[in-house]
Amino acid sequence: MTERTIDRLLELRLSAFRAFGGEETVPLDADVILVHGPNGHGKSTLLAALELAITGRVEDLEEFKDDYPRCLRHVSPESEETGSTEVELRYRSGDEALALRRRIQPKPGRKKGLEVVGLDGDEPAEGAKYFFEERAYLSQRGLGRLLELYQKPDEESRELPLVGVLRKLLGLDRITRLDNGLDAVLDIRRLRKKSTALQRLEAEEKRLVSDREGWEERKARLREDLHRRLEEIGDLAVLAGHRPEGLEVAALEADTIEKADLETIASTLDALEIDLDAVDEALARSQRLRGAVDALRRLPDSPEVSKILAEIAGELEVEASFEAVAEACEGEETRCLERRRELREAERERLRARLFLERAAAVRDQLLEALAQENLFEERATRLQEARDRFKAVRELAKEVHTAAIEVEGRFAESVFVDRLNRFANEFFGRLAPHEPFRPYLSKPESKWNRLRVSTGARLGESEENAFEQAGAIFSSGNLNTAALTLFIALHFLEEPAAKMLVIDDPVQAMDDVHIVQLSALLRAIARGDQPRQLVLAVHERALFDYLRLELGPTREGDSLLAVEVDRVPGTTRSTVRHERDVWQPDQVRFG
Amino acid sequence: MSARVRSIVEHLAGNGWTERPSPLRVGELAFDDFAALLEGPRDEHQLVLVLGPDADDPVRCVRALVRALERTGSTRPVTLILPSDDPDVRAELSKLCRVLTVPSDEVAKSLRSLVPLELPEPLEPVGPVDKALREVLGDPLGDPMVEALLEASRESAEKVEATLLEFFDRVEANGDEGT
Repeated sequence: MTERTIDRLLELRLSAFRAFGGEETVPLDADVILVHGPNGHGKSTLLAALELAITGRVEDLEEFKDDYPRCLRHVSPESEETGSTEVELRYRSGDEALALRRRIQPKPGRKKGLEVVGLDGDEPAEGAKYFFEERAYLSQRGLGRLLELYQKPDEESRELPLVGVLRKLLGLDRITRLDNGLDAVLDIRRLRKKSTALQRLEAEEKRLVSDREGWEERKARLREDLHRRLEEIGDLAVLAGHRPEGLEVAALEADTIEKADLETIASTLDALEIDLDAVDEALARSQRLRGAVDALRRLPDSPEVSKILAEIAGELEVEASFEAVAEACEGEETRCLERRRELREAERERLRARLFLERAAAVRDQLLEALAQENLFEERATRLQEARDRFKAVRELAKEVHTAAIEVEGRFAESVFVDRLNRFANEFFGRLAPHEPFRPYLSKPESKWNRLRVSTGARLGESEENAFEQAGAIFSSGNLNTAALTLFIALHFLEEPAAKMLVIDDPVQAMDDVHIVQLSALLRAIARGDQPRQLVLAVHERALFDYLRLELGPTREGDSLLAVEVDRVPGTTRSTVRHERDVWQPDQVRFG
Repeated sequence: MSARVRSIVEHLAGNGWTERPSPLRVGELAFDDFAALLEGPRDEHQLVLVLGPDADDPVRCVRALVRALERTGSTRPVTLILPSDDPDVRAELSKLCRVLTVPSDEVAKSLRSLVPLELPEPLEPVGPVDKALREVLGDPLGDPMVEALLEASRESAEKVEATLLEFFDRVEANGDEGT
C-alpha cells in the first residue's frame, strides 16, 4: 500500500482561528495561490492554519508553552464568546479528494488547558506531514533559522539541523545505527564489557590454563615421588646383585619412569624368598651333637663311649676328644645362629622392598592416570580454540559491516552534499542572483566522533583559494537570504516529495528589486517546470502582490492563480478573506 | 539582426522559446521596434522582446505596448532584454516590465531565469542506503548475520547491538553442541 501523500491543496476552512473570528473558506485549488494582507491582519495566520490542519501543530507557536494552543483560538474585544476553533483541509492524494479536520478543545477529564485533536478525517501519512513541515512550508521564522546555517560557525558539539534532514532523507539514520550498534567490535575491551559470551569464553580459557598448570604440577610431583620410591627400593641391600634391568631404567630415566615394569620387579623379589630350613636344620644338628657330647661326658669312660665320641668327632672332622668335639659343636651352632640372623634380616628387607614396590605401583598408577588426562586437556583446548575462531569470524564480519556502513555514509554524504544538493542550490541561486560571482556551497562532509560536519560556505569558481567556509563572511544579507531560500528549495527537490507544494511566507525578506524579479521568474519556472509544484506565497506589499500576480499568472490553457486578500472586517478587529481566480484568457496578441 | 541579438535568440530558441515574426500586434496596434520577438517557453504565452542596440526610444515604445496589453486585457508577462546596461533606461523600463541586461559574454548566465527548470529525477526515499550497503558488502551479503544486522538497523542502534551479541552467543552455543 502506498503512503498517503498530499498532492494538491484544494480548500481550507477555518473558524474562530486567531485573527479570523468567523468561518472562512479559502479556495486553494490553483497552481499558484498568492496571499496578500497588511502586517498583522492574518496572512501568516492562514498559512499557520494550513500547517495546523496538515501536521496538527503550529511549530513556531508551540514554543510558547504557557499559551499554546490557547493562542490559536480567536480572541476578540468585540465578543467574549467565540465559537469552536476548527480548521479543515480538503486535499488531493493521487486521484482521491480527501479531507481532515482538527479542533482546539479542552483536555479530557480533569486536566487543565486545551489540546489539538484530529477529528474524523483522512490523515496524510506521517512522512507527508514531516515533509510538509520540514521541506514544503517555510514560515518567516523558518527562513530565519535557515539563514542561521549560513551565519553561524559550525559547532563541533552538534550536527547542523541540515545534516539531520539529510540523515532522514537518505536513510543515513540506519548507517548511524549500524555505526553505533557495531561500535563495540572495534575495541576488544568494549566488546568484553558487552558480550557475556566473550566473558564466558575468556573465563573458560583462563580456567583451562590454570587447570593445565595444576595438572603439570601434579604430574611432576608424582613422577618425582615415583622416582624417589624406586631409588629407595634399589638401595635395599637385599637386592644387591639381584636388581632387575627394568628397575635400573626406571630409576635413572625420569621420562620413562612411568613405564617401569614394577610387576616384573615384584616377581623377582618374590623369587628371592629366603629358605631358613637348611640353617635351622644345621643348627638343630649341631645342638643335637652338642647334647650328645654333654651326655657322653657324664658317662664313665668305656670303649662304647670312646667309640661314639670317635664317630661324632669323625662327623665333625675334628680330633676325638670331648673338648675338641664340644668346641666344634659350639662353633657350628654359633655360625648357624649368625647365618640365621642374617637371613632373617634379608627377608625383612625383601618384604620391605615388596611393600615399597606396592606403594610405588600405586604412585605409578596415579601418574599414568594423570598422563591420560592430557587428551582431555587437548580436547578442551581444541574446542576453545574453535570457539575463539568462530568468535573472531563473527567479529570480523561485524567489522566488515561497520566499515561498509562508514564507507556508504561518506559516499552518500559526499554525493548528496557535494554533488546533488550543491547542483540544485547552484541552479536556483544562479537564477536568483545570476551576476553574483560567488556561489553558496556545502562542504564535503567529514565524519568525526560519529557526527557529520559540513560547512555552508561561499566560493568563487572551483579554486580552493577562493572558497570560504562561512558564507556570512562573503555574502550581503540579501544574498544570504537568497542562499537560505535556495537551500530550502534545493532540499525540497532532492527527493520524491510526499507533499507537492511550496508554501512560503514572505519569500522576499531583505531582497532588492532585482532579486525579486529573479525570484518571481524562478517561482514561475517551478510552477511550470517538469516537476511542477503548487505554490502558496504570502506577501505584505501591495505592489509586490500585484507584480507577482502578473508574473506568476496564467499563461496557457489550464493555468490558474488564486489571489487571496486578507483584511479586517470594517469596524472590528476580526479578519476575513476574499479571493479572485485568474485563468488564462486568449488575448489579442498576434505576430507578423 | 545583430550578432548579439542572434545569440540571444538562438539561446532562447534552444531552451523552449519560439521566435515570432515582427511586428507584434496587440489588437489594432503594431509594434515593430524590437530586434526579435519570442513566445514561450514551451506552450506558455509569455513574451520576450529583444531591443536592438539602435532602438530609438525604448521607454516610449514599451510603455505603449504595456498599455495596449492592459487595455486589451492581456495578462502575458513581458520580459525585455537590453543588449547594454544603461541604468537610467533600465530603471524606467523596470517600472513597466521585467528587464534583463545581457552582456555579450554572459548570454547564458543572464538568460537563465527564462530557461525552463529541468531538474534531475528526485532520489528514491530511503532506498539508496540499503542498496549501497549491499553493493559495498558484496560477498558477505546473504550471510544470516549480515542480513540480521541490516534488518536491525531499521529499528535502532540498541537492536543492532543486541543482534550482534546474539550472534556471539550463538558461537558459544555451537561450541557446546560440538561437545
